[in-house]
Order: sequence, then C-alpha cells, then structure tokens
Amino acid sequence: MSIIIKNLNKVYPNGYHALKDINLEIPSGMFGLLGPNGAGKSTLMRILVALMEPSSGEVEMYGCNLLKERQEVRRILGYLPQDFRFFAKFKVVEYLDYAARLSGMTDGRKRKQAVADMLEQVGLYEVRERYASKLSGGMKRRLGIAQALIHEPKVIIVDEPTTGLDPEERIRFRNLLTQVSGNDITIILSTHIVGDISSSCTNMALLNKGEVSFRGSPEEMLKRAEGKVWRLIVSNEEYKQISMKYPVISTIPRGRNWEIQVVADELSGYEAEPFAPNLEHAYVYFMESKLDLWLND
Amino acid sequence: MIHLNNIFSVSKYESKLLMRSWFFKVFAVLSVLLIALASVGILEMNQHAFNSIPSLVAYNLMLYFNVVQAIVSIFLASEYLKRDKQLDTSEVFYVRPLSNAEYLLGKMWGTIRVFLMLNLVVMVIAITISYIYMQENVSPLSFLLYFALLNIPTLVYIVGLSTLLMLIIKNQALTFVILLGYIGLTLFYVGDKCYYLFDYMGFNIPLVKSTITGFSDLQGILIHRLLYFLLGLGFILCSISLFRRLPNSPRALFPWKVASVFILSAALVCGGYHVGVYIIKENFQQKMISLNNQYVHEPKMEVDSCYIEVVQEREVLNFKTHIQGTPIKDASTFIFTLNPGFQITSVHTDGKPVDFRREEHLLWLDFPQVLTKNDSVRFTIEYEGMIDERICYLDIPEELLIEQEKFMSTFNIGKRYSYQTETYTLLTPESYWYPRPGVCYSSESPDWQQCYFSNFQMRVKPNQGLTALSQGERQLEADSVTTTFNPEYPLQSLSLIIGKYNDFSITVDETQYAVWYLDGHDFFSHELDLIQDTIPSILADVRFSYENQIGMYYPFKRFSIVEVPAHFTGYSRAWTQAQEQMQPEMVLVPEKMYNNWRFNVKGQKEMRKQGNGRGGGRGGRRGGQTMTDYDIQMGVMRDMLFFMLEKNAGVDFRSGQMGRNTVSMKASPYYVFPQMYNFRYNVYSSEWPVANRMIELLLQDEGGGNMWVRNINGLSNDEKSLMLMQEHSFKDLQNDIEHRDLINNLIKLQGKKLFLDAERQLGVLAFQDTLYAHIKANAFQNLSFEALLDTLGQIAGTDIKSQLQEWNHPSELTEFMIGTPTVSRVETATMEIYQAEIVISNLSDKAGSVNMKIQFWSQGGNTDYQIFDGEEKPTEWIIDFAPHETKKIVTHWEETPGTFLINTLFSKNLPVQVNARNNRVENIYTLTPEGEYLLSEDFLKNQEEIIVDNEDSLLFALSVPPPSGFLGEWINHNTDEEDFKYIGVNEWHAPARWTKTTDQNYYGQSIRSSVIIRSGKGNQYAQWKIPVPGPGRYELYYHVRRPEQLRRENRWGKKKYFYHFIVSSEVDEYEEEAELNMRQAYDGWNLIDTYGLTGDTLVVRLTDESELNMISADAVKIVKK
Repeated sequence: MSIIIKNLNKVYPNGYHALKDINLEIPSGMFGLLGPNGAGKSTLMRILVALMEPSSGEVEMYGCNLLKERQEVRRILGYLPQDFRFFAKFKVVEYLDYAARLSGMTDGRKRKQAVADMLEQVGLYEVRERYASKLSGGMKRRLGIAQALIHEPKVIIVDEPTTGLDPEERIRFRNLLTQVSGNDITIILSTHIVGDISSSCTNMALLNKGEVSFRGSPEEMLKRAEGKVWRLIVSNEEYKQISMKYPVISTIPRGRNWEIQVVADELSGYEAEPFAPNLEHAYVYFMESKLDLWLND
Repeated sequence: MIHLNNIFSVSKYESKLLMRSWFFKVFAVLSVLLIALASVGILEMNQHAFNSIPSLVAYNLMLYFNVVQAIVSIFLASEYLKRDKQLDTSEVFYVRPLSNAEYLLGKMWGTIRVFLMLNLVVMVIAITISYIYMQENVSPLSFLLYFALLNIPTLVYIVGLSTLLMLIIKNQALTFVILLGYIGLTLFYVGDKCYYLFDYMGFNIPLVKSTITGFSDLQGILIHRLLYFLLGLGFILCSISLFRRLPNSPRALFPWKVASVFILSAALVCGGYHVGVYIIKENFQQKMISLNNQYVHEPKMEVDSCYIEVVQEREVLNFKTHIQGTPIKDASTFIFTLNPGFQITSVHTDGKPVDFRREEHLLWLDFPQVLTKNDSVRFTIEYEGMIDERICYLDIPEELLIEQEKFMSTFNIGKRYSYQTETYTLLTPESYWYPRPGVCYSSESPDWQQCYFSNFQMRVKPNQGLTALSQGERQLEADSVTTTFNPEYPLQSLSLIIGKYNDFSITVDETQYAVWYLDGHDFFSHELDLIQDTIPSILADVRFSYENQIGMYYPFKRFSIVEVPAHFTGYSRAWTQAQEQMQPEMVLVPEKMYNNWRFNVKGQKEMRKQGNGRGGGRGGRRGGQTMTDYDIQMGVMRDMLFFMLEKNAGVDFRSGQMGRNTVSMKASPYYVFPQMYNFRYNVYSSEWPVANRMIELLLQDEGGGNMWVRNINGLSNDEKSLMLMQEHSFKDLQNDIEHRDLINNLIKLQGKKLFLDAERQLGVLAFQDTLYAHIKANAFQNLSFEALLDTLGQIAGTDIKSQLQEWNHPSELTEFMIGTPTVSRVETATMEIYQAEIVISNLSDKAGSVNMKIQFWSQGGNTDYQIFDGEEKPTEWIIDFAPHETKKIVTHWEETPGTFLINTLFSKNLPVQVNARNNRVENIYTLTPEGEYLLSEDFLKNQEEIIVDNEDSLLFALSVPPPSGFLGEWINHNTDEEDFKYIGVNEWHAPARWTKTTDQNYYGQSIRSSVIIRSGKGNQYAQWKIPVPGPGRYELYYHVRRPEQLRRENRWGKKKYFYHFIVSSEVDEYEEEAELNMRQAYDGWNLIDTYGLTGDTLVVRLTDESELNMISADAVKIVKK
C-alpha cells in the first residue's frame, strides 16, 4: 500500500470532531474520496499534505511517517487545493517554474525543459506568457494540476478539482488525471461529485460525518447497492407519499403520472421493478439508507 | 538544514511580485526623480561643502532616501503576509519541501533585495549627477559606504520589525499605522535622545567622514549600526518561529528560536555597549571633576619655562618635558594635570628620580625637600601613550557635549577634541597633552583656573613624511623631519599638530602669514593665481583696518591658518572668548573650510563674474565698468579673510510651538580677537574667574546690536540678562547652565555697571583709554583684577572694588518713564539752532542713569561728535537721576536731531533702549539754555486721563482658552514653561494663546508691552476695567501699534480691518459695541468713542474677531471732556 492511515482523528479547538478514527489503506492509482460537504474530506486532505496536524493517529506515505518526516513526505507530494487562485502578477511559465524550483528541481536547464513539457501536457504551452490570473477556469485547473505534477510526485492530492468547471473542461480534466495515474503514482481525488469517481477511480472511500462509510472499489459499492434501486410509475398522490418515505433519485413526467427512481431496501405496496444502480444511486443508498445495519453486517 | 536554493527561489519570485506592484513602481519612479532633483538641488546649493568633503553628497542623499525607503518598506514588508493570507494558492507552495525559515527568509530577502537594487539605481543616478557637478571630486565608494552603514541596517531592521509585528498583530493596516507612528516618533521626537540609541535610521548619529581622519567615532558607529542590523535579523528569526505554517518536524523551530534569542541578545549587548561607552565616559568625567574638587587647593607651581621633546613612533607619542617652575607656596609636593591616556615613565630632577603619584589625570610630584616661593626647580617628566579625549571640556554640561553640531540642518558633523593617529595628530591645550600645574576644571572652586605665561620651546620628531606645527619660530633640523619651535613671547599654552601638511606663506611687515593645508587640499592657490603678488598688501590692509577698529594690535610674528579635520570643535566659555580653534599664532579651520561660503573660491569668482556675488551686492560691475579677473580675485580674497573678523558665525533659528520663534547668534570660533587679547593678557581673580572675560568684552566694540534678533525673540539678550539679574546674583548666574547663552551679556552688563561711575568721572573714552593702557602694560603676564580695580578707582576717584560685593546679590534696578522728544528751531542772525527737549522720569526708589545718544538726519546717524559753535560736542552722554527724579534735558545743535536713542542701562525698562523720534520741527523765538531741568515727579502723568495698561494685574484680564484635548494641553503645557515672560511673536504665524511681547511702539510707563493672540471668531477677549473718577463725558482711547500687515497698505484702501470692542458700564446699565478702524489708525492713542458716564467703572472688552492676522491688547484710556 502506498498510503496507510491509522486511527486518524481530528478535533478542532472548538470541539468539533471532524475526523473520527479514520483507517484507510490507499493503493497506487486513482483513489476517490467521496462525501458530502462537511464530511471531513478537506480536513483529511490538509492532514495528508501536512498543512494540518491530526489530533491523533498516524499516516504513512511510501514508508515515510507524515508526522515525523514531513520534509520527505512533501518531496513526494503534489497538491491541488480546492480554492486554487493565483498571484495576479505571475505568468503561467513563471508560476510553474516557481513550483518546480520549490520542489527541488535545481538544475535550471532540466527544469526549463520539464516546465515546457508539462505545459505541453496540460495544453497550456501556447499561453505560457500570459498572466495566470487571466486564464479561464479550466485552464487554471490545468495549471493547478501542472504545478502539482511538475516534480513528478508519487502522491497527488486533488481537492474538489472539477467544481465549477463546464462539462467539457471537467471531462478534459478527468482524462488528464487518468492519464497521469498510469504512471504508478497515487492520486487521491477528493470530491462530492460522484461522476468524477465513477469515471476515473479504481478505489474509493466514502466519508460521512467524519467517518468512513465505505471503502473498496466503485464496483463493490455498486454491488452493495444492487436490488436497492427501484423504478416505478406513480400518480401525483403516490409520488408525495413515496418521497416522504424514501429518497427519490430521478423524476420524469409520464402523461399525468411520474416515472421515478427510488433507493430503498424494499418497496412494498407499489408496482416497482428493480433497477441496475449506478454509482450515484449507490452513493445515495449509502448516505441515506440504514447504514449502521449494513455496516454491522 | 537550510537550502539556499529554496530561499533564492522564493526571493526571486517575491522580488518579481514586488517589482510588478504599482505601489513599488510609483515609489521607485518617484525615488529616482526625487533623488535626481535632490542631487541637483543640494549640489547647486552647497558645492563648496561637497567639493571639500565629497562623501557628504552620498551621506546626504542616502540619508534622505533611507527615510522614504523605511516608510515604503514597512508597507511592502507587511504586504506579503497579507497577500499570503488572502491567497490559498500559497498552500501549493506551503506543501513544497521547504522549511518555514527558507520560505520566510526568501520572502524577506526578496523584499530586501528589490530595495537594494533600487538603492543601487539611486546611487548610480546620484553618482552620475555628482560627476556632472563635481568631476574628479566624486567618491563613488562613499555611496557604498553609506549604503552599508545607513541603508542596509535600517532596511533589515524595518523589514524584520514590520514582519514580526504583522505576525503578532495580524492586521496590515494597524501594523502600518503603528510603524508609521514609530518612524514619526523616532524622527521628530526621540531623535538623538539616549545617546542616539533609538536612531535606527541613522538620522542623528554623526556620520560625516572627514577626508583626513575618517569618521569621528568609527567604533561607535559600527556598534550602533550593528545593533539595528542584528535587531532586524533577530526579528526575522522570531518571525520564523511565529510563522503559521507547519514545520517540517516538531523540532524544526528550535534552532531558530535559539538563534533569534542569541542574535537579539547580541543586539542588546551592542545597545548596552553603545550606551555604556557614554555612561562610562560620563562617570569617568565626574570622577575627574570630583578629584579636581578634592585637590583644587593642593600646592602648585608657576611654570617659568617648559621645553618639550616629542618623538612619534607610529601612532604613539613619547614625551620628555623639561620644566622650570617656581612654587606658588612653600611645599614639597606639587600637583599637575596630565592627560590620563599618557603613562609616566620617569620623573627626574638634577639626574635624581622624583617620587610621583598618579590618580587618573592628576600627577603629584614629591620633591625630596620643601621648596619655597623663592626657589626655582628644574625637573623632567617622561611619558608616552595615547591621548584620552575624556579629559576635554569637563566644565561643559553634558547636554551641550552631546548636542549635535549640525551642518545644513541635516548632518550631525560629530565632535572631536584631539587626534592621535599614525598619520595625523592634533593636540590642543584642552587635552592636557603636557603637564600643566594645578588641577583642571573644578566645579567647586575657581582656583583651578590660574593660568600663567611660560616660555615654551619644543622639539618634535614626527613620523617620516609628516610635518609638525606649533607656536613659535619653526626650524627644520638636518633630517628634514625633526622640527624645533621657539616662540618669541611667553605663552599660556602650546598646541601640537602633525600631519601631511604643505604651506603657502608670505611675509608682510615682519609677520609671516601662512596657510597650512593637507596634501591634496589646495583648492585656492590656482584660483587666486593673478593676485599672488598682491596678497601681502591685502593682508596688511585687512589687518590694519581691524587693528584700528578694535584699537588693539596683533602681537605675534606669525599667523597661520591651519587646516584640521571637520570634526574638530570647541566650546565657548564664560571666562574666555577664545575657543580651541583659536590658538596663539594660529587658527584651526575645518578641512577646506567646507562650512563657509566665502571659501567657495571658484563659485564666488563665478558669481562675481555674473554680477551676482554675495555679500552686499559685490557684483561683477563696479561704477558701470566690468571688473577684471584680477579685481574679482582680489574681492574673493578679501571676503575670505573676513571670516576671521566676524564675531558671530551665524544665526541659530528655532521655530517654536504656537507661533513662538527664537533666534540666537552663534559665536564664531574663528573670530581673531583672542589673538589680540586673550593670548596676550590675563586679568586674573581667584574669586571672579569671569574677570578676564569682562575686560575682554568691554574692550571690544559691540556695535549697534541686532534689533531684528530682539524683534524675533521679543527680548534682547541684554534685557533677558537684566531680568535675570533682578532675580539672581551674578555669582549664581555665572554657573547657570540654563542661561548659558546669556553669559556674555550678563558679564558685559555687570562690567558696564561696575565701571559706570568711573566712566562718568573720567568720560567714556578717557576711561577706556586708561583701562587699555593698564592692560597693555601687563602684556604676557597676569594682572590681578582686584589690583586693576584699585588702580582704576584711584584714577577715577571712585571705589570700584567695593561694588564687587553686589555680585553676590540680585540687582536692584531702576525704572524710567520716557516722554516724547520735541525739536524746535530758532533762527539767529548768523545761524539756525535746533533745540532738542525730552523729559525722563525715574520712577524707582533707586538712583540710576540713562545713556542718551542723538542721531542726526543729515549725517546718516552715527557720529560721536557734532560741531556746535565751532567746537566738537559729544552726541552721546550719560544723565544721572536721583530716586523719583524727573528731568527735562535741553540740548542745542546745528543740525536737525533725528532719533533720540535713550538707553535706560540697568533698568527694568522694556525695551531697555527706546529710539524716540519727532519729525515735526516747530519754530520758536527764544532758546531755553542747555541743561537738565528738574520737574515735578508726576510731570509726565496727565491728571486728566486715566490709563489702564495690560501690565495692570488688577484692572486687566484675559480670557482663558478652552481645553484643547490632550495634544493641545501638552503643547500648552510646554509653552507655559517659557523662560521669560515676554517672547517674540510672528505676525504671520501669531500665537494661538494670549502671549506677552514688548516693543517700543506699545504703551507702557516703563514696560512697553502688549498681549497678542491670533485672530479668531470673537471667543477670546482682553478686558480693561477703567475707574471713572466722576460723572461726565469721557473720550475712550485705545493705544495702537500699527501691525506690520497694514504698514505696507494704503490707509484709505477698501478692505476693512477693525478691532471690535464691547464697552459696558454696570452703573449706567448699558453695553455697546464699538469698532476701531485699524487701517486708518495711527501709532499711539486712537479715539474709539465718547461716553457719558456717572462713575464707578467702565469695562472695555476687546474680542479676537478681526480680519487682521492678530489682535494686540495694549492699553486703554479715558479723558474727561
């Protein structure tokens, strides 16, 4: 395992317990960290990039203890924070050069080449002399990932990278991450957008209220949700009754009735047919169902 | 472990960000422009100073740039922390493998290096401009030097401090305000307090670098600048510890904490050392004074002859002093003073060793037998070492010693009293470089001051290539280095100067005149090439004129102007006019006379060529003809010589709070008078050390004084002195540090008072001739003051000496009321005679005198005599008054009397001298015989009028200004601490509170004063309560002194200027407003209105509402119709 997290807890000074005894083993490749806002994802990310100290627990990255060997951990780390902005007066190429320098790339010639290559790779070479603040949102994200990748880290931590991007940029960005993940490195992708995980991650964990709700592959998560998603056609009256009891994922008008998709262990009293779940269904299932029961299995 | 690569990476991009910020761009452009303009400005203004000491250019420019830079750097230094806080993007850098230290150091270095680059740009510009003006005189290295001494420590300190404060306060605006306040506080208030300790900008520490000896105190400067460099560094390291970013390991901060503690401790050590040096020096000086007090009455010798042999070995001086002395009283042990830096190696008499004992600077010689007053003993003292300057000026108060010697209101020149280096030595008597009998300054007994004329001789062997200078005939020995000096006359003291000197000398009428200048410092000879042959006649002419003017003669066979380092300074003393810059036969001038515009030979020539020369319009054209180069050089040469004939070196103008300004004259240390008097005569009194100074001042022509100085200060120094004399004894005032600037006036006034009777008996000029004759008869020997007074008293038939007892008590002064003079004309068959009359009344219980001088229109004022009836008649005389005596003085003249200068001498009168005029001449038919006519005591008081003056504490009152907050109260509190009741006011910047001032055009029986306030909205007022003697109609008058503001305006102009009055009477139950049209008012009494009054009191209130700049509350009167 490339990253091992043991009994990690974080309690803020105001008493808020943000992370509760987190245990995770993260292999190389794309790892998705899914969870709603406030689940503790960013806290976990910040601990993993050594910007924050945990209250207790340990983290090991490629054999380095995060708490004791921060310098070494930082050498193998690339990080793209959620809110990635720029010094207004940096050009794209300068920004990347700065990041490369700070990552220990001391050979000027090699660094220059690496910066150029990376700009090519993320499709920003043409705009390298432009001030970074003048880039579009997608370009900024690409520059963000470029700075995280420039020193060829073993671990890349990306926090909510696709938030605010248009669909084309989002796909472009996912592809970029997928492409990078082929280089035997670990990418931790923290997101609340299920689509990001389903299309790129081989492993994932689900974080809710500071606790890990699920760990495994997206396929396993889907499997757990099989038979828990139902499709049925209901009247207005029935729709109201069902939506009071179960999470309704999809609602499509059918004449005077509604075709709806519902997540539930069982749906008695209605003419419902089981439906093959996708990761979004599974996510809703895990978030909204009686998780405790399932976990106790 | 620190990775420099990381620091440089962070700094590189921090610099980029900084340079791309608009704030910095604007600052940079403005800096460059300002420095370019400033360079041109200061080089235009003070070319001579900068050519003389080229490093001054760098000092000046870097100093000003330093202040601006400090302000901007605090903003930019705290800016990057704010920027980081705002941008989460910095997290992507925080997670890089670099430590807090690397990150913060990089940030700071990035900021600092941008400023350093800007400094370099500024320097290049300044150097380029300097080259245009000064050519080969530019010193590029000095820019780097001041950059290192001034700018780097300041920058590191301010960046460190602002970063640390920003991290603690966490608010950029607040940090900026606090630091700006700190800069303002240190610059304008703290300044040089606590021995410059808080002067982080180097604005006050003496940083002028002499071209001869470098800095005045290099070690002190280095320690001081290191202090701030280390403090800055310490703050930076503290900031690393406080920086909110996770360290790379829990122990990572430990070394930085340790390092910051270590460096801050080192800074504290530097600060402690810096202050400690001064404190140790003060303590040592106190110890020396205490020893002097203890041993001031120890037996001492009069030194008859002193032969000094000096050998210089590198910087060390070896002395062998052969002394022949005569005991002043019988004893076997005699006390001497020798610089504490010199160690005595042996003392011998007739080949036998003499026991000696030393305690700091004191030396006791213990002879084997008792020596009597008739004995003459020869002995030799051998000593060596390095001079210790701490012995100098023990009598000068500490606040004066540490007071800055400013040039161009910017540079603190720094003060040195002696030098002893391998290449330059300057030892004046103040440093006690050879054994002198007795102790030096004692605060308890004037007995220390005995000075004797001795026959000096000296033989000096300086280091190879150096030239020795001293008093006496100078002879070089065969080795071309060793020099002997044989003064022709006995001297009170000797000085020794060794350096790379060259000379330019001329002998005129058996006096050798020489200029001794240091290698490469000849800035004058090639500029005066055309007049080389004429210089002797110029010298003879100038000397002759001056000798005639003062009635004394230069006694020595040679006169040298010797160039010394710029830092060398002296102080004026109560007992002598001679400062250390003036030595027998020589005057010590600062290098190239950098601080005197007269010596800007090249510039002066240019200005004269352009017909724009300074000094009373000495232009390039004379009588319509263009002056030749020869004439121009002659003019410049004459001007140069006048620097020694000026009594005052300049004006010290200080702008005070609340519109109160003061101005004082600075005594010139180069004034040549001491050569004529102090080095030749010595009037000595064991009880009154000021005796010599008193005679010296009385023998000098004081001239007409400086009325403009009085106008600014509100009182003349003589008037201030008279006010002090009423409160304190002369004995106490001699040691009054607070009024040290008045000491000359106090001494001169007491001297005049002392000899007033004698002058009256003999006549002013005859008395002066007698005094000078006695002084002259005692050249080069001591003359007892008491014996002199006895002799003069016998000649004048009056007891002068007994008056000395009065010096132990405050003086009782007279008080005079002076009437308006009148001039009448009578035509006789043969001539016109002008009759001048004036009435003067002595209001006091004490007899007194008035000095009257009449100036005449036709002769431009000042003449001592007028021809009347074919005979010379003095225009100035003294009139005596018995207590409460009123006299009319009638005199006759052939010319129209213009101004009556009435000096009330030792009186309470303010102004003490009144210049009364009466331009109307009435024709009369009968002359009143000349003489003094006694009148009734209240002749000058008009019984028909009742006057209430602002001096009347019962009937005159002022409004109290409302509280004006803390700052206002603080300012008011400070201004309340004025020394004197009356001060000068500036009409264009009038005081905000009621302020008393005097002028002869104000009303007053003896004190012509008024109370001034800036015009306002009518909230402030002055109030007079006039007693009304009985029912009737009364005219109300106000006494006006026309403001300067109106003196240039037409009386009938359109704009109205009024004084607003409220006139009320409780008995008559009315209150009226009244106005006085100030535009049309005359100096003197002006009618306000007529009132019908039944009695009791008329209240007149003058408000501060007016279009004029200020309101003057003087006096009101009522006259019954």
